[in-house]
Amino acid sequence: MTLKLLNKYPVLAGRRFLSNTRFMAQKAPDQNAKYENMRHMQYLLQYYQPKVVESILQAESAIEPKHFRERKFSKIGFAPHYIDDFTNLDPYYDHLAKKPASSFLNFEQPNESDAPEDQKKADDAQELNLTESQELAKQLSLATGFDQEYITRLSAKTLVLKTVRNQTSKGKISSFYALVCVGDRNGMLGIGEGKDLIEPGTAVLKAHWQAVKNLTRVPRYEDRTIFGNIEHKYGASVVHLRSTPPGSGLRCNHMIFELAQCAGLKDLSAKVYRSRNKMNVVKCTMEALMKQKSIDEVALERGKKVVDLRKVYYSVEKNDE
Amino acid sequence: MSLVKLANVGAHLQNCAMAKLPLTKIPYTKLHLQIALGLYKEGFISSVKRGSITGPDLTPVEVTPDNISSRRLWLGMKYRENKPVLSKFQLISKPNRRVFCTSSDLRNFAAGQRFRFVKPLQPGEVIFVRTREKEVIDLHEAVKKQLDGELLCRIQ
Repeated sequence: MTLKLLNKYPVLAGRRFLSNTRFMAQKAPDQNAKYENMRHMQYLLQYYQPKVVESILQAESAIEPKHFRERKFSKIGFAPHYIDDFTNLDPYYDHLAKKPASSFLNFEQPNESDAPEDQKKADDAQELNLTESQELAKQLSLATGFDQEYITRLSAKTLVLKTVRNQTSKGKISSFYALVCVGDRNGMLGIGEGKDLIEPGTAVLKAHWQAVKNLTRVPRYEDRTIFGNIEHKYGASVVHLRSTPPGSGLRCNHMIFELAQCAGLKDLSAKVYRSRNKMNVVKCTMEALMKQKSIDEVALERGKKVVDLRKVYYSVEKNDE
Repeated sequence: MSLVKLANVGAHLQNCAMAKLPLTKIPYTKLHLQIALGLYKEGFISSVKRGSITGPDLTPVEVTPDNISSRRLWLGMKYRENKPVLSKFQLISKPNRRVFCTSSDLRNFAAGQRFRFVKPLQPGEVIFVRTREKEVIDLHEAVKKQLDGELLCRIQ
């Protein structure tokens, strides 16, 4: 990096180069110092107002020319611009993430380094003991991408819990089977199956896990009922779902009732024909609810415009003028 | 004309929708043409073209008694987000049991009530009615004009 280049492209004065640049800079004769200053001022005037340039030059004068000449360039591109070993926590600059303050106390814990030692230990101990549901939520949020708090707030219902047997050469091996439905009561619903050899609780946990992984959106009309009537067949189970006016409630099979509750459906009428096997009814209803086409979707498909007559003719818009 | 042929057309269109075919041909009759134009107006199909057995005609060809046997109606199917637009095409009035409606019955049926054994109207469903003048129109159009008619088919 020669002086000629520096003169031609003053922008390069700010750039970092290889170690030989310092050598070059040291070689620059002091006779050209004033010339250099003029060029630098002209360069600054290109971008800043004269008053700002004056303040910049004043700030620059605070640094000794020797120190500027001998400035060390970091070899590591991502290194910080200041010297620090990061082994000690600075009481002013370094703060730990604040824990959620207790609402009724209205008292916020200061930086951890300020708190007395006894209290510090107690807080650490609390952090390690996460409840089972919180652990589950944490792992699920990593697997699915949903918020941890959202997963803990989901309502889950064990629909089926029974023992199933497998005949092998060693005899009948029985294990526990669970079918769990999970929903946020606001349009999301998922079902999951789980099996465990020893404990039914573990089977339920596995099923809960699968259910959260299988969460999908259920289209709802006015956030309370389905779109029109649906007839669906799954295996030997035939499910007829009918939309009902507001206030009707959920008049359906107990399995469909639980699914509707978790999904956030408030008005529904259903009838199960042929087989009423709980597992198959649940799976049939799940498929039927996903089969729906919202009115907006239909309008998009057919290239039509949808007008909600109730809202157009009977709505009252207040003019705040 | 023949409801047997219309039933076959309905089944054929449902099969084409399941197989995700882009184009399909149906027999060229007056009723089929009326239904096809109705479907096109409602947005269930993308195109209606007259053609021969091999394909739609690029330039218009006059229909004469010589070529009538080889004439077909070509319909372009529509799909969105991996789902067909025209998924169900069922007959209401069948050759063994015809269904006729008065204007008041049609009005109640359009409002969402059940008409005898005919299941109520669903959201996004289209019903074609054949009036006394042998004109095939949409249910809501018939209600507006206060006409009586035969409930031909229901399309979803």
